[in-house]
Amino acid sequence: MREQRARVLAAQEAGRIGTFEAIIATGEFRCSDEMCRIFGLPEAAEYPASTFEKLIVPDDRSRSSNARTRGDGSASIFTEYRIRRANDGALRWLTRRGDYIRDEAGRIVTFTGTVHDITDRKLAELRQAGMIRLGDEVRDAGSVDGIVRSATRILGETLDLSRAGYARIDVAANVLVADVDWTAAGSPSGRGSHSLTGVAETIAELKRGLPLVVRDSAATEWLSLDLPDYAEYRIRAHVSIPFLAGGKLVGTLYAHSDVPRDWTVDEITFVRAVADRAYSAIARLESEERQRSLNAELSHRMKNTLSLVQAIATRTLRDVVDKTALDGFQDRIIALSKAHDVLLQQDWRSGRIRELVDAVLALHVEGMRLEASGPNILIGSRAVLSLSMLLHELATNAVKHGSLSSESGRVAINWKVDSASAHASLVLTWDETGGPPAVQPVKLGLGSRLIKAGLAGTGGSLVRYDSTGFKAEFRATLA
Amino acid sequence: MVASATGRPVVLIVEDEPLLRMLAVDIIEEAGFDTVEAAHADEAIEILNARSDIRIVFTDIHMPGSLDGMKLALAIRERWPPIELIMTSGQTTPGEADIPTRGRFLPKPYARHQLVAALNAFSL
Repeated sequence: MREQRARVLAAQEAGRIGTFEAIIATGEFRCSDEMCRIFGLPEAAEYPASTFEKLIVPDDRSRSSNARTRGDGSASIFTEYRIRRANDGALRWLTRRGDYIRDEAGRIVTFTGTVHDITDRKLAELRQAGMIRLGDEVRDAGSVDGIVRSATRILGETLDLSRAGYARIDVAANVLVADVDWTAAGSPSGRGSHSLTGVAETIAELKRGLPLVVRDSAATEWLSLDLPDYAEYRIRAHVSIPFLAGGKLVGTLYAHSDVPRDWTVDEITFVRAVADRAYSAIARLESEERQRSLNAELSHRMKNTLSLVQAIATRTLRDVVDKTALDGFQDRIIALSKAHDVLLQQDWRSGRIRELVDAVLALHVEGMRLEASGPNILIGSRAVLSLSMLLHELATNAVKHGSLSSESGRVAINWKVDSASAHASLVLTWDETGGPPAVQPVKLGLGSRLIKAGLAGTGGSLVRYDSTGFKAEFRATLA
Repeated sequence: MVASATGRPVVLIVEDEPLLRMLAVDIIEEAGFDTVEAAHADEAIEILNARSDIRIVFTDIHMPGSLDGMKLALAIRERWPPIELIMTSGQTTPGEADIPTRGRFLPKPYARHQLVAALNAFSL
């Protein structure tokens, strides 16, 4: 019997299972050595129940048992709660299973059970959940600050830190700047601009590009020169992941603890994973920003070049051709420039049809004489360019000899996506009314050719010279 | 109306790109105005200090030098309130609030008829 009990105890200790027995009548509370170790207490056969109960995190006390709930049988059989371990203050997750032992009359005599420390599993789950949350938040973040806010909060909450933050580092200017940080209640923020001089040893180490792990700064000899700054911000232990760009240290994500901390491999891996995710998101934002400013610069140069082409053509040709021809040339250049404006809005890959119609036609038609309707779909960059030319020719003709040459004339332009055939196509109609009867031009100029070439420059146009005015329908597949 | 010796109103053209300045000169003179040219804002201010017959200033917004066209326009509105202003740019479209009172804006590249219409819209 005694042997068997010893075996059970050994098995429990190996499985890190603590056992306890609460005697209801006397209030005695007996505990195994492993139970004491789980709670960080010196091993003893007995403690007042309150010694254990006080270590339970206040928020979780409604889930654990106390003298009253054990006595009246209302304490739950199975529960889970967190404790602050007595010896080191560490936050631990426990599951507890309890059983009521009753006498013949059914009165509760003892409440006995087991306690299991599930912190490792729990932390793994938390870290996993933290990475998922970070992934979601970072994907939606539109600014570096937003990314840092998410990453530091998730770091801080998941690892139970005193502070987490990201500092931009400018070695040449000898300064580090923390715009955003996360702090636990009662911990001072490290936000602001700080000289690198006070943390020179730390910076020298970070420049190597490897994660820096400090378990107890006061006991780390090579850090001694940096200790006054560490003390000012209550940094006793930290994990910092340097951010290098082109081999140069430009920032660091840091996890601070105000007490010594024996960082586990899993925790260090977690900080690295959070930093990797945050750094790639920051790099993505910065490259998008660079792309935007390159696009704006490209657009500016393009328009400048088009302006120069105008000026050169005017200067070169003004004594050779008549002014109408020169104006026609200039107007086409402007229509092209409007197309580039619209393309710029979508990184040059495509453009919104409505914006293109408005921009090109605004050059010729007063708003009240134009009725434009259709879905504001995206069309490819080639289609944007050919449609800008087409619309320009249609509007020019309408102003010269079509409906817009008379005061009461109007133009209706409508477009829709026709998905009846195998390939969805864009159908655009141009309908002039209120002007003189339309007359087919005798000479086929560039304008007529552009109109014939249609939406995509490949045909698919149908024109009618009606007595009520010029009509056209254009069709092109949306590829 | 103050006018030059030819009796035509005078337009000061401020543009750092010589070809574009020439184009503007052609269009504006053909529209019935006399022109004076400046390659940057500082030169424009010197001209404005030296002569009193400038009626309209047509300026590019993006120019090298201590003043860009926008600041030049604001300075003119303050120091020479009667002068009319037309601004142009291929880079930015200024908001309504950024354009000085009575000022006009033309996006670059502009059509001849747009510039002529803007010039003729002022009652000189």
